[in-house]
Amino acid sequence: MKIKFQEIIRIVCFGAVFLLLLTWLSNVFIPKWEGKRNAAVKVASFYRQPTDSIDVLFIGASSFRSGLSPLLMWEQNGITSYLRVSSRQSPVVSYYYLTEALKTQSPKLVVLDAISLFQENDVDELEPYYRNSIDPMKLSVEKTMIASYIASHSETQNVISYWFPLLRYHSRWKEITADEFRYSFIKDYDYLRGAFPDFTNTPLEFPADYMAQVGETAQAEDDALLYFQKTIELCQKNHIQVMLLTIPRLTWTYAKHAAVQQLADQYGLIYLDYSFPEFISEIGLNAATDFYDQNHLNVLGSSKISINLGTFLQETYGLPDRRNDDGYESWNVDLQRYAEFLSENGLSHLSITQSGKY
Amino acid sequence: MAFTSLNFLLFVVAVLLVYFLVPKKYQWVVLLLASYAYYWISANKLVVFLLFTTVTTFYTGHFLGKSNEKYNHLIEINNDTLTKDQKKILRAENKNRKKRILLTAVILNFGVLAVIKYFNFFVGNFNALFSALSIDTIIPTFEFLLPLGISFYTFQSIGYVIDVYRGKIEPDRNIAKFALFVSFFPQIVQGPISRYSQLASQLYESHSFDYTRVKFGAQLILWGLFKKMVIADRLAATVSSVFDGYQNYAGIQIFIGAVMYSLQVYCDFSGGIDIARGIAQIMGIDLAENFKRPFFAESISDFWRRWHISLSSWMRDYIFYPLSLSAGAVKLGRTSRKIMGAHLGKLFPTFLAMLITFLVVGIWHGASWKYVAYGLYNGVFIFAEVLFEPLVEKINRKFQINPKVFSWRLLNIIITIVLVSIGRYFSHAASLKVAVRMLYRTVAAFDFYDLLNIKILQMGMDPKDIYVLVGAVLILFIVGLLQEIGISLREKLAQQNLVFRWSIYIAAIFSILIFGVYGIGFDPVSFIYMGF
Repeated sequence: MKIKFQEIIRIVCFGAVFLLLLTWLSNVFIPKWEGKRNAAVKVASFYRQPTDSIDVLFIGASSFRSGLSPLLMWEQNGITSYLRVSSRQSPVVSYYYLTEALKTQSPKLVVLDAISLFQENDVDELEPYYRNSIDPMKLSVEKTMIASYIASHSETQNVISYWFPLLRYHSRWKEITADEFRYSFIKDYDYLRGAFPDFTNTPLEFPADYMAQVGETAQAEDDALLYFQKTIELCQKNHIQVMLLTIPRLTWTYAKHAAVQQLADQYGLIYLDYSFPEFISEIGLNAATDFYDQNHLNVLGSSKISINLGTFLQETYGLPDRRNDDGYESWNVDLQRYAEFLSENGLSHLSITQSGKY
Repeated sequence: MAFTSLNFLLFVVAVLLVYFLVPKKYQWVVLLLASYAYYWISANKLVVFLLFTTVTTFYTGHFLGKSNEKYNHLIEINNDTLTKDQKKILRAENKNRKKRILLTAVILNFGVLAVIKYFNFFVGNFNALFSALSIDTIIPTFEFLLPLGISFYTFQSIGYVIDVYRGKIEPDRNIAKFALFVSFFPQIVQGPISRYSQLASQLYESHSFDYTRVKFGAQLILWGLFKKMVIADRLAATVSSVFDGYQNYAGIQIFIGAVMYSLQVYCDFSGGIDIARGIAQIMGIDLAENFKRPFFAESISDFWRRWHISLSSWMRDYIFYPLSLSAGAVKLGRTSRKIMGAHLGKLFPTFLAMLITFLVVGIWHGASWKYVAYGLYNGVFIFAEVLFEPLVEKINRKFQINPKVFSWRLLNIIITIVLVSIGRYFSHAASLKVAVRMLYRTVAAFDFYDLLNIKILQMGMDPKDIYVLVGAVLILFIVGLLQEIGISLREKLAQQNLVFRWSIYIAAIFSILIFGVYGIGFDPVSFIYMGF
């Protein structure tokens, strides 16, 4: 092969320009999800956390996103945590979210969302959720691994379209707006660190057969279980403590609880299930005021859980209180911002805290 | 593996890398392996048909060569002793022997093609005939899987044996190399149908990496992808909707649908050819041009000189000329001149040969009466052109029409496009019956006011798609126009500065990536999202 040096340089430069544009246009074309479901800013903001600054990683689905507040746990216990959440997160995604996180963070504790064990795994039907979890990730081995998992379970999807989502979303050209081009240069930061407090409320009641629906069985999905186990084993290999957690939801069952408990026992883990009536009454969770739908807590429910959980985690896992440490100033700034955000939405910060203390 | 698929792109890149990295003497082996890999991936076990054609035509060439050798040898050693008559006999013997060999190959290969592609067509017609004659016999039909590209590689291989028979080329001595000639992957699916004399040596030779050639090849591939993905695939849904449910469309819409199909089939077919030629060009192999801007044709015969050139020239060389120059045709000409007069009588054998040729062209496209009608439709127009040529000249003189002026040529171009599009009713409708019904409905459901009704003219397409389509066709037209007047866009572009050149390439690539019709589509409903 006779190829001149100058020609190689040209080919490489052209390729670089092309890839740069492809990456940028991919960002422009990624659909902009409705606010609370949008993992984009939450995923991207995780990369902006200072190295080794996060002590607790919560990895899971929407129940974590609406049911936990890292800023509240900071205020109450000085715990630094981040929610690596995305809607209907599959344990495959959780696993690679963790491996990716371990490149920059050395958490002392990883808390996994038990609901993910029962996450169905039709990669084509759940494509929008996978996309929403993966599209905002940096190009990395982890991203590629999730994409190749999907591609190997799908007839229509391929890895390259996850590297360059333009190939997937190109037909959006008809609806693309100038704002989307502008937005591609703005890097929003999620000061809530993965949480999404919801201010709406659906008055509910715990059903008579709460958690004990007759004939209910629970079987973890095969691949979900596999990757859940891989996640636990990876933590244990890296000497990171692991805990399993369930945020209350009206559709949760004893059967599912038992299945999760079995797994926890197998690995010698603590499984904290807030769904139990005794926990619910202990933290004062009120179905009439603290849910925004039957599977998700609103901001009131979230603060009750967070305050209780923060103390539990600190006592159980000996997490450091960072409130007086150097380098964590941004947490207080963001807490202040959160207080303002709450008051904008008609809640005084104090009342939230107090509601947690019942 | 479709030409526009990501897998094909990766396959080609891999083949090119290996092609330029292996020692030069093995380059043809790489191509052979790649071609068979491609065939195997696309057609699997049907590769046996490809092997059958390769082996039979190779050995036909071989035996034809042997026959010649034998004859030459006899003449050589006995040159002094043989009388003129004896030599004549020997020559005739050789010719007969070669004829038998050739015929065997032609029958074998066209036999396979006939059975696979046309068996059910003939049986269906026989069954219909039997039932019409109240004969209580039904010949069973079979579902055959059509081996990929069989119409293309069969014709290419038969062309080879005829050329050997005619002494135009020497038979190939290496069956592996010959297998590459038959199976070369960029062209096996949709041509062009290449000639041995033009292609084979290029395939067997070694080629070094040449930056300019690679660049030109890549441009050709891009251009092909643009035609296929931005234009042809965008038209596909509307065209199928018209041809599948013509009853729901107004007369003018059916006609527009046929024009759209003309454009679709051109962009799809010529786009595919451009991709094939581009890939070959990168490797230093020039494939024959198959299209020369057919929409600038000023008559149907002009159209066929510009459309699917490798097929029409094949038909011309191997069917039309042999037929029209045969002893029978000469004899027929003499008789017909006596009966029909000088002009018509002289043309009559040509007319017959042309009719048969176009019948074959029609049937080549597929086993259906609609293709027979399609072939005849074209044949009749071409013959009419020849037949009425003196009359047209007379009229032109009388009314002082200058056929070389722009307006007259434009008129002819438009008429040709209309006639070609009407021909598409036959080639694309579900059956001949449907084609005739569509033609009827085009006229019967034609309303002049529809021409002013934007909604009707939109054909149910999204206005944004129409804008893209109009823009793309405009580019197609401008490029075609420049080529018509002899300006090579690629060379002009190559003279520009780097920034401009790269901008054009980048714009071309992204217009395909964004406006191309590919992938599984995007359903905003399943992606619960909202503008911000």
